[in-house]
Amino acid sequence: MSNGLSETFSKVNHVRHILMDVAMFTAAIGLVVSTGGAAGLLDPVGIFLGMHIPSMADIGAIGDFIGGAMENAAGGTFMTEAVSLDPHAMHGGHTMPPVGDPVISQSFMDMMGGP
Amino acid sequence: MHRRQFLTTLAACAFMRPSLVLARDAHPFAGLINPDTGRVYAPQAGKFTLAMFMTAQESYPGCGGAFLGIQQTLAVSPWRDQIAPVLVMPKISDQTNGSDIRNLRRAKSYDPPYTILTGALPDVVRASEAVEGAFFELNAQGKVNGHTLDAFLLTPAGNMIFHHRADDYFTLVDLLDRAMRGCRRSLFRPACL
Repeated sequence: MSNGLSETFSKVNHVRHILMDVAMFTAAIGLVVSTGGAAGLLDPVGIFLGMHIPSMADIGAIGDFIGGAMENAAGGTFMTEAVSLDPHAMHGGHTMPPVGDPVISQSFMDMMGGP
Repeated sequence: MHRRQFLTTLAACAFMRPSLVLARDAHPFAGLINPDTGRVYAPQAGKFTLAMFMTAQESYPGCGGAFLGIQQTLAVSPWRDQIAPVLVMPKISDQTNGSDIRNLRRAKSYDPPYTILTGALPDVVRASEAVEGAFFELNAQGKVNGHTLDAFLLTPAGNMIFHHRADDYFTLVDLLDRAMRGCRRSLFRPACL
């Protein structure tokens, strides 16, 4: 008897969780729509995923994802096509000359506190 | 975050005016002046900013390489029409060597030319501090004698989305492309506005 009850409770509880998740996901999409996109399309979805994937504990990191990934890349975490090219050939481009002698007006120099 | 916290946050956002959701600090360069126009800096609508922080004097031998890296990147970048190169520069009277303007001459030499922004030293320093990773160095006399050689990509609203280290400009084209694509894919991300 108690076993049957426990099974029923488990099923009901499972259904309750599913309903809550559906409601939350719908609300998350609603948040994007109601704020005119200000909340960020992926932000609420990220929060939703964060609750279901324990390893995504720091949801705040999502906002910095691109910047963080780019910083890692700059630190040499992954290679790029440009790196795989001959650096001397790339460096050859550094001989690109300036367009010409710059024209710097006196009013510009005055505002710059120059001589 | 628990469901209850999530729902509470959600409800708070739902009743908040979009202007509050979008509220952010002013642009980091808002207090600076463009000496070419004599006007206070106003970001160009929809344009990203690739910013550098340099003195008019050549503080390091690497200054020229940093300029070239940016120029070459913009020359071949598919996003060049959407990126404006900006140079935040203290007044010549605020640097240690008032007769050296080699960096300034470089900045004015290239096409497209950098938009140079300057101002009172506290404003210039404040602008650098508002962009994470950027800095100017001052000596004991309060004169600028150093600066970062890194480049920073800012959104039209002034959010820094990409910090490029100066030690490798070979990858800048590729990395800049990724950063721009990342933002253009998710137009509504607050960080990309």
